[in-house]
Amino acid sequence: MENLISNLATGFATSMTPAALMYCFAGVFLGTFTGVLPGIGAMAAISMMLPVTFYLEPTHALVMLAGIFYGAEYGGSTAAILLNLPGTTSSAVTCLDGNPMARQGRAGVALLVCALSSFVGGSIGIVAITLLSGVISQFALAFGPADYFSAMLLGLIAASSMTEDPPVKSASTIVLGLLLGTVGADVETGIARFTFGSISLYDGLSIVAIAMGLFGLPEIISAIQQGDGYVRQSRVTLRSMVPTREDVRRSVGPTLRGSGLGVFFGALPGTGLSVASFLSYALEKRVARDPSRFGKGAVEGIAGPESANNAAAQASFIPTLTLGIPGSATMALMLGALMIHGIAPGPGLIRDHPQMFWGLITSFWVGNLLLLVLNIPMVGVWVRLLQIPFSYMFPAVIGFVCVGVLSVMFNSFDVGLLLVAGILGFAMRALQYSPAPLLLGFILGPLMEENLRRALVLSRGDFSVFVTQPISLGMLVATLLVMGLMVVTTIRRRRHQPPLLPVGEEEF
Amino acid sequence: MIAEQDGAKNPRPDPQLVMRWDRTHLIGGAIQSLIGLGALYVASGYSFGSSVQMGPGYFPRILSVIFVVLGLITMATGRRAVLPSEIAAERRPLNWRPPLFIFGSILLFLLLIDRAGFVVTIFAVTVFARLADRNVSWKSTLVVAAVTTALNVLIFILGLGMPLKVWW
Repeated sequence: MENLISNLATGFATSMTPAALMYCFAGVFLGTFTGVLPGIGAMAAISMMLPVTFYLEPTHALVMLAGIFYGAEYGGSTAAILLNLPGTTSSAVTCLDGNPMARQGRAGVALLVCALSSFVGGSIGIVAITLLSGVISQFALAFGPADYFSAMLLGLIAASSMTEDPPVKSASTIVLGLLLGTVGADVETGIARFTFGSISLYDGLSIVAIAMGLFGLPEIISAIQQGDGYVRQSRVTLRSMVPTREDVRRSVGPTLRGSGLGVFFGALPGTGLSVASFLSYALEKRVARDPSRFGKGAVEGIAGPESANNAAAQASFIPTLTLGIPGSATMALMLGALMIHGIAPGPGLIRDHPQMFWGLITSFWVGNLLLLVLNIPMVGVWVRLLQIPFSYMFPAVIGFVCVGVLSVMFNSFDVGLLLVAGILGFAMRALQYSPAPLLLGFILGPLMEENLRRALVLSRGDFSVFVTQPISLGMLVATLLVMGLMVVTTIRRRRHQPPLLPVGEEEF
Repeated sequence: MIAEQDGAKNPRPDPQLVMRWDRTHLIGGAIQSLIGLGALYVASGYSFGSSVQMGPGYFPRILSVIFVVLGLITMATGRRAVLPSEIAAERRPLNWRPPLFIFGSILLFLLLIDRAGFVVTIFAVTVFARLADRNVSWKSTLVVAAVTTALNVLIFILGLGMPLKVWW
């Protein structure tokens, strides 16, 4: 307990400095902005900001990138309520009851319940990280290379099950990512692989160019193609946000249950935000005395899922920070940011960089408080922002993306790579492959190869090490279960279309 | 496109569903297999080593083989039930203007940045990118380009101090 307090004190000492506060604010502001804007997801926003963070101290960089991620969840629900368009995949559920409330003239109450339950969910998620991360990382220190390899395999397979693609397609995307991860010099021998004689490729492919090409450019293109002809809500006043006593009474239970679901599913690899919010909605509908109210503006239908997706957003940092195994592509990008700053992710992180770790965790609290301010008193700003036509914004984004990619290494080769990755991402969307698992494979690839090599050296080339080590065996069994489940659901879905979620969006 | 009812296998046949080969599986799987074969060819130039001492070619070669196999499976499993709305969406002509102008603007950046300097490049790239949207006026385009250029100079040159040629 005392330990915990001193850890939190260390954390706040880092996260309450003016510089950290500023980057935290910048992160949650940008996150809300991209969340509100349908068309640009958190994933694209994080990859766009990645080059800028190279100039920052690693802690500040992470604080800001994390802020974009969880800030987008707040903003996403604003768009869901006012426009009936989910700004992020996980806020799709919020449309179900949020938009009917807005049409009944209760948009203000919906927004308030949304922000408050998001805040409670986020806070409970942070408490979970604070309490669990130390224990998990202690446990993870016992992991050997074989255990890591199997854990990463589980992470990859589980995360790919999140997409709406058939399993064979998401598996293909992962393997393509792993292959792209092998480009560059081999760690062991220094032999250049897949470089085709280019020196620029010797250090591997630029993660910034890959991420922006795969997510940023195709997202912009499809947003332009769709045009922005939605009806816009004009004004939301503070007075319209005051909830009735009934609203408050109805929201408490769903918020707490949603937070619990969110923490659990957020911490598991591959399930994540959307699953948590969909399950929470289903749960609330089941326990409700009058389920017929759902879909017609039931406040429980907002409170539950919103707390769930924000709790999950925070909890998804647990496996990333304590094990070094990201459960989603966004988390993989976070991991990439850590590695770019020369920090090895994994159980050693808390031990070797306590200031960074606890600084980041406490910044979540600061960030969630800032988000509350950004989303309740200042909601009018976002409503007005929704009125700027997209055609004013995307050219600026393109310019920013180009300079951002260039700024990493000052090598225009990377801009060429951005172009190629963009065309790849565009083609993948056209052929209905979600690009998110590719990024996960790309980042985990080199780590997997390294752990495979070490595991096999230790076992003298005997592959049975993966099933004789208990942790590794457990991970492999879980992997098989996930794969089995994926195959079964796909066979079922072949007959019962269509998917619930839009294909290829950025949960992730 | 073959329209054939799947009444026998499905206990509750949905009359709207049509069984047919999914083009995304056929084309995607084929491209995948070709990429995998290409990667395998290149990777076969690196030593494979053994399980005890993995060579630089070990991991890439295994991955390439898996990739080819997955490509073949993707093609083979392409037969599925689709909704008429999906078929209609497929037939709708794609709007090529946004991808052409967006990718074109990146190419333009690549061509100009080492020759024309930062300001000219950003300005030209934003103007070109904005043409991806059909319904824009020249005046607003120039304003957007000017603001973007100014912001980029502010953030990257003045703020982050990037050592780039500002003018030509």
